[in-house]
Amino acid sequence: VFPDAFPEGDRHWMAVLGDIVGKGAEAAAMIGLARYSIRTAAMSDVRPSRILQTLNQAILRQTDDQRSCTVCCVRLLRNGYGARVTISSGGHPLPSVLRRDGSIEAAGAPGSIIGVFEDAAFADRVVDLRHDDALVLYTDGVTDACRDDEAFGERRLEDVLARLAGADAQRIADGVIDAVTDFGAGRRRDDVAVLVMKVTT
Amino acid sequence: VTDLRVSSELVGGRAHLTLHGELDLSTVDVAQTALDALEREAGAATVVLDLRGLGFMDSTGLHFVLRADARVRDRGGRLVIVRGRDRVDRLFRLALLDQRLELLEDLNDLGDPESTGA
Repeated sequence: VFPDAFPEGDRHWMAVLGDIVGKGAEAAAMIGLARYSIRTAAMSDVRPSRILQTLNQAILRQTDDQRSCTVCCVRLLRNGYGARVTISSGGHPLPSVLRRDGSIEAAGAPGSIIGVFEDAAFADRVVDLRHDDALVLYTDGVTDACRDDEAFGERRLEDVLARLAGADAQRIADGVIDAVTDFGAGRRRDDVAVLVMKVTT
Repeated sequence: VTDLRVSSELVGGRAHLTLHGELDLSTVDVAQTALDALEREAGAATVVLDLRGLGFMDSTGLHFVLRADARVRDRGGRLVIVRGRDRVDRLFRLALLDQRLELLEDLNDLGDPESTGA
């Protein structure tokens, strides 16, 4: 799993959450390639779909073993009432928007898994965040966390998030991780990562 | 420790690989070995990968399916996937793979083995 967040120019912030298929040295090398490619791509085009397209090409060209990954790429542009967020997903679980009032929306549109197809397709979706709204990115390790034969799932994630409406970003992230850990009773199937962005005044 | 059971059989001209249990990093080698063996023995034009018995699959499993599809196609064959439970199927949808792979709701949709066999 690799999270990343960085400012791009004076106006934009980029946030990234990626998940590499496999583990070990090869996965570590892939994280390096992905992070570098994303940061470089963002310098010439800040559209998340274009960044994922560039990343897809980079991985296709620079690895021989059909390595793949899933990535959610987000651009934030601060404005008068909060932030305009542009989201693109490459095979990654779609992020959730947690509104101040506790309502939850899935954001973004599905896109191709990254590093496999020459003609991968990615879409940008825009969502506006107001003061005290949060955007929550997560890996499938969250929803796949398991107790006996039952998965944590999206419903439980939504319930947990709804109770954390209005909390600060750190508390939202901690709340999700705690809930997943409690549910799975320590048995973790996959890497669990949560990235929370929040608009404050 | 997760558990995966694999059964393979030849039906008409088709090779069937049926997965039961959990397909993830710890079990993917079992599936790969079974697929390799089936491919060596059968070399059937159509390979059916039945995911209905899977309780869980992660991105490693997805990668296994993608590689299998590429390999079968490379030798001029066809990989047909019988969709799993929603939790498994969701992975295919999130990665837009439902538009690239041949996914069936039901094995009956495949029709008569003789007509699609080698």
